[in-house]
Amino acid sequence: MGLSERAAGVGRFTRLGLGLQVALLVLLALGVAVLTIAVFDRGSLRWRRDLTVDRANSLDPQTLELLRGLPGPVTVDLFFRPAGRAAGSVVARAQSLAEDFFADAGESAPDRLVVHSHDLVGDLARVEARLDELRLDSSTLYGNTPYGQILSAVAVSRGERRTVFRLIPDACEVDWGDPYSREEPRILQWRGEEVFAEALGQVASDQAPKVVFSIGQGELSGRASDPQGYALTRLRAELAAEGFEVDEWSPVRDGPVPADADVLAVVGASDPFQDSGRLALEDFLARGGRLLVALPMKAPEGESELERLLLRYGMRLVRGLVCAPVVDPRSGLLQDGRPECAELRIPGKDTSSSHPITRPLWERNRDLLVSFSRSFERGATPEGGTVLDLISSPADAWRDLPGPDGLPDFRFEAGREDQGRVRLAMACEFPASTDLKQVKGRVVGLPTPSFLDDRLFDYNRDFAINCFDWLADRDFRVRVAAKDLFESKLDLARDPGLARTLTALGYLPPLGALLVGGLLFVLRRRG
Amino acid sequence: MSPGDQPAGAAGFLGLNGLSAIYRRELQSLFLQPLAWILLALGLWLNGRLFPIYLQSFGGELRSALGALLGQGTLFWALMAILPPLLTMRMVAEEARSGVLEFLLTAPVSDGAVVLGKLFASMTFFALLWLSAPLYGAVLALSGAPVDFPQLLLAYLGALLLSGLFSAIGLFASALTATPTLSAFLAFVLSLAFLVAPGLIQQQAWLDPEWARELALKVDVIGRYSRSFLSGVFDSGHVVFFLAWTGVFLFLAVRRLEMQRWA
Repeated sequence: MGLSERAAGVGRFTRLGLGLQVALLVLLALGVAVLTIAVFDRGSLRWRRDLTVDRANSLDPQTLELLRGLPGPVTVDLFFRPAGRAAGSVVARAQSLAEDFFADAGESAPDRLVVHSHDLVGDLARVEARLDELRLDSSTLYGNTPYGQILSAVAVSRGERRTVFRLIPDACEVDWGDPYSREEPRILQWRGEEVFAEALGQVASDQAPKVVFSIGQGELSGRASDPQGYALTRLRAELAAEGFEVDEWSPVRDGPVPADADVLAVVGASDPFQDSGRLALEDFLARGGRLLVALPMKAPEGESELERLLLRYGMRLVRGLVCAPVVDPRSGLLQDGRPECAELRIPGKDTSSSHPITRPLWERNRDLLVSFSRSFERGATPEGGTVLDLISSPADAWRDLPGPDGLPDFRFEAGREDQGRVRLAMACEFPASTDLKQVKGRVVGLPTPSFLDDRLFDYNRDFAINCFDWLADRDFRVRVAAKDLFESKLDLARDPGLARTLTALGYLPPLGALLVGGLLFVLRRRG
Repeated sequence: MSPGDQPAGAAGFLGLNGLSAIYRRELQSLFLQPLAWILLALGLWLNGRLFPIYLQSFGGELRSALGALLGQGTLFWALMAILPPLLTMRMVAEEARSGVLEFLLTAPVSDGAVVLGKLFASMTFFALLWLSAPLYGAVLALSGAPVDFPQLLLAYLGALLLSGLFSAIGLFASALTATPTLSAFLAFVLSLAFLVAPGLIQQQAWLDPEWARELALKVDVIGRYSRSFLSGVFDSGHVVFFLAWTGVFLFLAVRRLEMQRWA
């Protein structure tokens, strides 16, 4: 090898070595920056203070306490999609409020809250994978509005537990305006913090109340989904996701109701209970047990033992399907005589505003759907107990009595049938047997299983979950104090002086800069 | 007291001998050029023209309109990507070309002081530019308008930190080349890359979403600025973020100067 060749080789290696050193230096500098940022992003080393006059970026102390007391990190998944033109602006505003709120929440408790915002337009595969992880059906994410369904939901999860709320109507109270008078929809109230705090309570709680579903008396199945949806698959999956332990109880096989059962549910039992089963139910209630009874759709001959049981707790079942006139799509007129009359849409305002089960539905005007339901009347209130109506039918409903052929004709017959509101769900709280007076038993009575079955579960999910929460004594509601909002509005139209001030502010500073710059330039030229 | 004025002992201890002198010199060369005043007047004029429009579009909401001047509006970010490269393009590149840099590097001042002095001079320019928002707030407050001053001043402070970061990028680019135009272009591309990086990172399907999110958070200039300074929240984590990235680009610029010293 010649001298010049050796020198060229050395030069190449030197350059390569220098290049590597520079690359290493750059990488090291980037690494140090990223590491420093990561270290100072940690909650323990971070100091955050909201300096706004109205503490606009601060969470309520109760929410903060909940967040900081979480046993582990909670994940918040935002599933937001833009809405169509009519509801678009109000949905966009709600989404922006939620994004701001969760950004603040994430900043306030960086080690406790992880927020994911999902792209529901461009990255559906990733969204579907996440929904599978969360065991969420996409239909759960939709909220109903007068302009159709909108997809704006928030899933809050910790480990196996998760709960979902919709921005509209759960987190926002909306005035939908009037398209005829061109009145735009607008958000009346943002309740996101309250709803989020409730959700946190649900996923953070380590309690796992046990719900036992009775089987063996023709109840709705909880395992394989019935092709027509007459099953409890979705309810049971949702209860498990909401932190309940779900089990089954067969009176014939298991004898008494398990001692560790917090809630017993008897849904759509079309066959009679044997004496041992009936006694087990009575004993369970006497001990202050919590029972949910949804009577079967098809009325058995005579009075069933479940009807007699409910009567003891102030709920008397009345014969006749509850029907209401429906709007004929062609004429736009109200009509009866069609099976659709037995499918009732119950506005949230027709639910009780005072009971914990229905108060959230009433506040958010959440519609419920119910089909082929009978109804209750008030019976005698048990001693020391209280009985409350939960849901009423629309005012133009009637109890459709069977015709001579024993079948309903869905037609209102004045004189033979009464028209008016009837009770579609009731709840009773009563003291347990004499030696356990301090223990309160609870019963929720539903005249139809359609409140709980898979077919209408998208509409009735919250009502169903609320029933079990109340029965199991789970209450996660948090009252968030209202903030004094800082008003910094200027009335541009009414203040002509303001317009002059703004014009002056627009021109004086740049003119001043030009003058000073020009003066300095001239002075410099003159030496 | 100017940003570069420190007790000689402290500056010496930090290895920043001559910082004050460099700062004064840079300030003079910056403000004795017509370019700085033209850019300043242009920036102030744009802010002045847009402020009433922002006010109108927010329905008279003063807090949002002032926020738009300091970060919620697109103009702010456009100015942030364009002005620092224009202002810093000559600071090292021109001096290297004209031979002044060689003279400076042989003077008894440290490389760190040279770079930091230039950075402080650039930040002084931006301090004047962004002053328009607190000025509007003060004038409107005098006429009885309700102004959230803590939030406004925090946003101003954040804008200064942000200007420091983009000026550091400009200084690094200026140290890389002897051609000012190329330096401005490089700085503009780097600044733009910094602004769009979080979005780009999160769109990468091959990255684990959790990793992508964490990585994006480490370079999320707009998000961090909006969630803290602009919202009126002082957050030490975000302050460290801006200081750390500014430090990285200053460090690289200093190393580049050192290489030139030994070249």
